[in-house]
Amino acid sequence: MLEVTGVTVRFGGLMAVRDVSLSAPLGTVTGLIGPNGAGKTTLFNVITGLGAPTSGRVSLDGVDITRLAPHKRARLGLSRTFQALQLFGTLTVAENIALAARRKGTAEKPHECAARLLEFLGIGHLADTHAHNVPTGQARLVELGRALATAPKLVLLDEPASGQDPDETEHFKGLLRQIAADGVGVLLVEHDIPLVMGVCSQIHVLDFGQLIARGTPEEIRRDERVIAAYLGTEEVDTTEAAAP
Amino acid sequence: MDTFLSLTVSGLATAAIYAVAASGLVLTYTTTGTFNFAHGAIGMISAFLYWQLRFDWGWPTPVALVAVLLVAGPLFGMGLERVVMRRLEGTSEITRLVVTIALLLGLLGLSVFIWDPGVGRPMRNFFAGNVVEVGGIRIPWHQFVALAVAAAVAVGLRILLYRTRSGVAMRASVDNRTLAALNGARPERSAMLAWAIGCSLAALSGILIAPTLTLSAIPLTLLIINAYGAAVFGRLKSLPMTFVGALVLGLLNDYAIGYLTELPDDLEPYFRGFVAAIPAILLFVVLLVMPASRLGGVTRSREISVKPGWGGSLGLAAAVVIGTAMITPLLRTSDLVSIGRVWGLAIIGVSMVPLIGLCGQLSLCQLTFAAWGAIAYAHLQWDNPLALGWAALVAGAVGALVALPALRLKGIYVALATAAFAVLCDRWLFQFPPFSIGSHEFDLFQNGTLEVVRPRLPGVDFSGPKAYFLFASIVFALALLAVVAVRRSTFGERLIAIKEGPAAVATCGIDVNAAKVAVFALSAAIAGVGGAVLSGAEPANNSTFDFVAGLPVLMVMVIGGVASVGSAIATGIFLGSPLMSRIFPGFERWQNILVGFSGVGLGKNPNGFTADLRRPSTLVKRDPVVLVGMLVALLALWGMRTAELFTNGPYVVASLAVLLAAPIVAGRRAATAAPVTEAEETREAVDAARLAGAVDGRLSAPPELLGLTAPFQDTDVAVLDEVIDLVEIHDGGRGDRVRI
Repeated sequence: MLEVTGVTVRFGGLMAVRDVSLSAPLGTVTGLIGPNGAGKTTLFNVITGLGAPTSGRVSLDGVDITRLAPHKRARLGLSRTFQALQLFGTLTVAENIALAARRKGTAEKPHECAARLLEFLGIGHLADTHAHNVPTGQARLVELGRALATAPKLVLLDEPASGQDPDETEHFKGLLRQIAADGVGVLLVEHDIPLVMGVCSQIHVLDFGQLIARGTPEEIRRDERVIAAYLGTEEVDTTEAAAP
Repeated sequence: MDTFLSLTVSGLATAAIYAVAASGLVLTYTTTGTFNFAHGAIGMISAFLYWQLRFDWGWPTPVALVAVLLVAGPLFGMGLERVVMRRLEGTSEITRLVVTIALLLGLLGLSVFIWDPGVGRPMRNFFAGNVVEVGGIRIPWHQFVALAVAAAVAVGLRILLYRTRSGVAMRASVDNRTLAALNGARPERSAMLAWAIGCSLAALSGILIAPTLTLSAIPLTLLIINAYGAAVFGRLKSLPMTFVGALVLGLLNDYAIGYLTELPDDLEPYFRGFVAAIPAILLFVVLLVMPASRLGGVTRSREISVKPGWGGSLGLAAAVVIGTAMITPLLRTSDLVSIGRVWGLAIIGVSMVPLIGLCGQLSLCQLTFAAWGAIAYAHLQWDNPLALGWAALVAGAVGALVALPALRLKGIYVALATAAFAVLCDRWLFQFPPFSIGSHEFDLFQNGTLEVVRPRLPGVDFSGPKAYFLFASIVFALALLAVVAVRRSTFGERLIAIKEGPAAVATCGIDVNAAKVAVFALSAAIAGVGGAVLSGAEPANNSTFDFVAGLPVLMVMVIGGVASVGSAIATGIFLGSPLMSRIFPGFERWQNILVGFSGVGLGKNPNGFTADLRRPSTLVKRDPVVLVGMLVALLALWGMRTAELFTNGPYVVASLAVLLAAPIVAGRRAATAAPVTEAEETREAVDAARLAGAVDGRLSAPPELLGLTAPFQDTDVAVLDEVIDLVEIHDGGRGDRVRI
């Protein structure tokens, strides 16, 4: 289980994330939604070690990883994809995945791991294509494959469905369910609300860096504050403005 | 106390000049995002121009000043923006930095070309001879002029950036060029203005600083480069902090000059070069303590590195050794003196492939690594080829040491840190007198030239000039194969991953820091071997390896394609052999100009010209008849030369002609080969697209960028037709397979 406790991130005077606590159990898909600029990617960076929190702690299966370097977190079982694609363009798709393959504690060779994941993702035909030639929708799958190659306990997916067409998103939904069924935890940041509602068992909602709601998809759908954050209502706007 | 006061005043004046230079640099960087490494060279050439107008042609001072500062400087800046920099839009920060380094080299070459360095050119201070006495210390008017100019620049820039429309537009284009354009600003105009003012300020600092030394291209350029430390102090952003940096730099500089000469005699020699190294040391320290920048996004670069195959690489390595073995007997000993540097330089060139080409760490101190290798090699005095391993070990350790501070730096800051290290070694460490640690005597450059022993094996003696030349080619071939092995290994893939996905690579469980230290050590080790081989070929001294001498090596590598081992051969032959000067008499004077200004054109083809050689070489490789014919012709020519039927000149020309003719013949034959069906034609078009450097062997650019980054080509049509099954439609085939 991934646990985030009281994480705050300040950039100068701006509080990008304010005292956020959440948890993501393994074997399920946990959603993290919120309007643009809510602090979702910043929180992802803190969890994966690409950014340091001003305060708070992050732990994976009870091990405090707050101060750990990103690659060590990856070796402990935490991996992610990126909203702005970060594939290694000169390498082929198979090489991208093989490079991330876990080497210790497994008999599987990196290229076997890549072949297995490519088949699982349904993009075996792209194996020898250079990564910078892969269209965005499928590139998201390659990033997912690369994240899975590290044999993670938990993967963080940052807007994995953006740039995918409806068919691809449907395919993606199936993949997420399978990944969770294999016992891997998924923390999903996504703007495609039907996708989030369809696959997540728990959803957390961030707004202006603060956690404003958590619950099952059904609870979130009915939550006044969530509706306000996305659509804005006069009533909630005034309380927001009144808050210090 | 009087000394202190007068040092303070002169330090302030030095600081003022640095501030003027650094503020020009910062202004260009913040407005355009390009770090102009040539800033110092622009100042240098402006000082030369001023000398020409004012002292040689005797123009009145104000007229000469206006001509240089308000006409030549701004015009040069605007031309630079319009002709060079604007085309680099969308290339990586590193590519743009390399282009400005090329410009630096070109300007150095140009100044030497116009103003013969053998002639002394005294330049007088402003109001020379006029001195004010304040409280017992004498202050030359020139120092007041410098202070007044710096103050005027500070006030002027402040007003420009905050009180004028153009200035606000300049600040807007810093944050978001496109957005600024949408809101009515004209980023091109802002950029042009920034380059114009930047160049003018460079010129101003050049003219002010030139009287402190006789007008000489490289020292003057380096003197202005000193100011880069002040700019980094302001994080290349803040003008006030840049002025503070300049203040620290100027005062430290003049205090050191004043007080270090008073050191006791036994210590003084160790600090002789220290004063000159102060700006480099300050730059290094500032880079060390500066907070690390946050992770940036990835720029989609057009740079690709093709994975070399073992077959071709072994063939290349064999060709190097066999070719050298065939040519060596034909050379006179006097020829060998001038051609001896080829393989040493090639090894240093190939050392750049893993570090700069694959990992994207722009190191400007490869020649310094080579120097450490050469020093270690000379110190050992061992005639076993294994002594090269010792050179590799020492240079590798230096490389790892440099990597440690460079770990947290990115992009241009790596380049600046390595440049600072190179200058630090040149000016200070390599100037050390002999010293001893414990009972062991060290003498780095042995008061001038390194004395090395050439290798010798039982039965094989490499110490003769011809045998040594062959030995050097074998070492290069091994270095080349080692680099190919690295590129093909998982380690090589990791290096590419660090360059192309800096944020993602760590989340894949890869230890970025360890990989960076490893690649610095590896690259430095190879460079160290290159330095050792070089020092065996010709008498090597401090200046063989200095910072400026390293720039042409880097530039030829980059022009050839810094990710490909083939460019190392080109580097060696172009810079190390008299080939060019034999063909074009007087070539030495043109060399830096040519290299520099070819590098400036780099934006057009960031993969280098060796990528363009791929197609002809593949054509020849695929056609056994032509391949065998070419080899036979080369052998026959060599046989005739050995039989003394003609001399070396015609031999070289005829061999080059054979090498040029082979791909042309192969291309003709391929074109007239058996009747081609349309499907085969498509396949060939696909192949041709791949050969032409197509990104994926299919399209000339990623589909979404097709026709945007490069012209749309016929092959693209063919490939797209194939992908959407239009070929079948042309064939009158099955329309039901069309998927659109």
